[in-house]
Amino acid sequence: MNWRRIALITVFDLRCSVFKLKGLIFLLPFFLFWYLLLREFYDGIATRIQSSEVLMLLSAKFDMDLIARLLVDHPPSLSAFFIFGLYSTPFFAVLAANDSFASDLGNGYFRFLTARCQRIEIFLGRYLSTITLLAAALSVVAVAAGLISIFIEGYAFSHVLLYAIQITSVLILYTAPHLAYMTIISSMFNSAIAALFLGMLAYISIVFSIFILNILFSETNSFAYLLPSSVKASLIGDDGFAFAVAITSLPAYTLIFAWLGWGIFRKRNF
Amino acid sequence: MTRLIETEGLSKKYRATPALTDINLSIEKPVCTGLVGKNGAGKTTLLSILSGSIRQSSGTVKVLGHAPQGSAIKGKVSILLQDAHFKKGLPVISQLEHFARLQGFTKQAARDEIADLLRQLNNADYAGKNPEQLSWGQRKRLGIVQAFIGQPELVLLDEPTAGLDPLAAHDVRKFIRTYTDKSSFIISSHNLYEIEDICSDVVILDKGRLIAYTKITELAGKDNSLKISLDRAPSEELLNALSQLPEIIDLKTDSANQEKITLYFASKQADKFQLQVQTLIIDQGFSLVHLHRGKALVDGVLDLVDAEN
Repeated sequence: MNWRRIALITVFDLRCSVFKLKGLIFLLPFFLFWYLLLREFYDGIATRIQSSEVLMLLSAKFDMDLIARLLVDHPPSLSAFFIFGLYSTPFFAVLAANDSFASDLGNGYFRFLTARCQRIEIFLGRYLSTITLLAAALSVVAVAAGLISIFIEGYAFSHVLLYAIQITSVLILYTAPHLAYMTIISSMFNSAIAALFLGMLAYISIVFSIFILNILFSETNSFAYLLPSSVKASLIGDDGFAFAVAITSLPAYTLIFAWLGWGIFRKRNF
Repeated sequence: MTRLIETEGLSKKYRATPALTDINLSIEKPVCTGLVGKNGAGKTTLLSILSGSIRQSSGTVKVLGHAPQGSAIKGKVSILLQDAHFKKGLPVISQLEHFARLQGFTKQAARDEIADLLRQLNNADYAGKNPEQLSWGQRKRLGIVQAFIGQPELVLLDEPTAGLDPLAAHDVRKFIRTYTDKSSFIISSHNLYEIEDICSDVVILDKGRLIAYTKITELAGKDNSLKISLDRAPSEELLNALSQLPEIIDLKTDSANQEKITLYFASKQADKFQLQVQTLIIDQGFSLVHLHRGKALVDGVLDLVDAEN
């Protein structure tokens, strides 16, 4: 394995993603979504959320201490970015990674690469390119949310900076297994559109199946752990041990999904 | 000595359909080998396996002494396949430079290498455009450029001149010829005259099986035959006179090209016999437009494939 070639593939694919349809399919909805959400915070929704009536309403559903920590102790714009980020990650991962391989499998472009690189280099280069793109996009939103926290909500710069780094890192780690899941889907199809729709369909089907299995076998909730979204609550919550377990499980999920994706990619006829 | 290509029991199936069956082939370098066979013979599949684009179903393959997927041969083998396309929406020259960098060139060296290859193939004018803005022939020529980046030890070309106009095809053949003393080639083509022109050896495939791997001179010249083109269709008298010559084994006429005759003969004095035939034709009032002694590659290939079937 040659890391120089992996880096070259990563940079070249990023270049193709940023200004081309492949990237715009992800970037446009991503930034539109965050623009609409952050605009609400810019308009001062944070103070309304922090009102006792809203907090009372939320406490019916969530732990009061947790709500206080997220929306009062920490800047609410950044907390909202964190929570909405966790919930929207599967959708944006599908948008960002549907064309990691699919189009180039269909048009034979990989035939130019296989004479020059090993398949594992192509696989890793494309994966790193996608995660870099998502990490960069999340960082841009984190900076915007941080600026709102400092200038609109009045939190201290150091507090905002540390919290922004912490939640953005967690979000990027949480994104990794979802992108790895998409390597399975994108390796299976020769069309980006097919990978996009079937990626979403497959994810929704798994979530629905887990829901049904949990009803049928109500004594256990273990089916939820088929997907990395099962650790979402632990990433938000107060329990330090649960958080540590959740964080360490994310690379494990990533490795398992990437291993399955690689298993398909390495056997594909280019 | 490291062999260029070595396959043992190589087979490939696409689901249940066999594309290659039990190919045992050993090619030593340096060489320019033609790969010929009908549509569906397995030519593109064989080239794809040699380049690592697809994997064999069974058997072993070694290219330059290594597995085609191994790191050791990356950049030493290049390929032009018919159905490989450049990325849309990005200038081809950027993609070519990217390929060069993957082969170990620095940024500046990659630019220089690509500029040099584009100049040699007169492609510089349009390489800065996106692939969707180029004609099929222009894309094909740029595909040939990518196959020559870094002067690979082995260049695999699948129908390099198919679809090109005669002048462009001539340029490509000339370009390939300039590299035949530096790199080894395996060229798949339906144009057997082109293979005969460029290559020294030929691999013949039929229905996924290896029919022959031989020197073109052996295949094309092993029988004594005269291919004659006259100024018009031969008369009965001329055909009778020719067939009564004692050296003649067989005489064939071509219903599609009635002015052509092929004579198969057995004579230790082929030059004398050829002169005798020429004299006979002229005495009968016909003019010789063309005369070729020995078989053309196309005849050799057809004979072998027919014998196999």
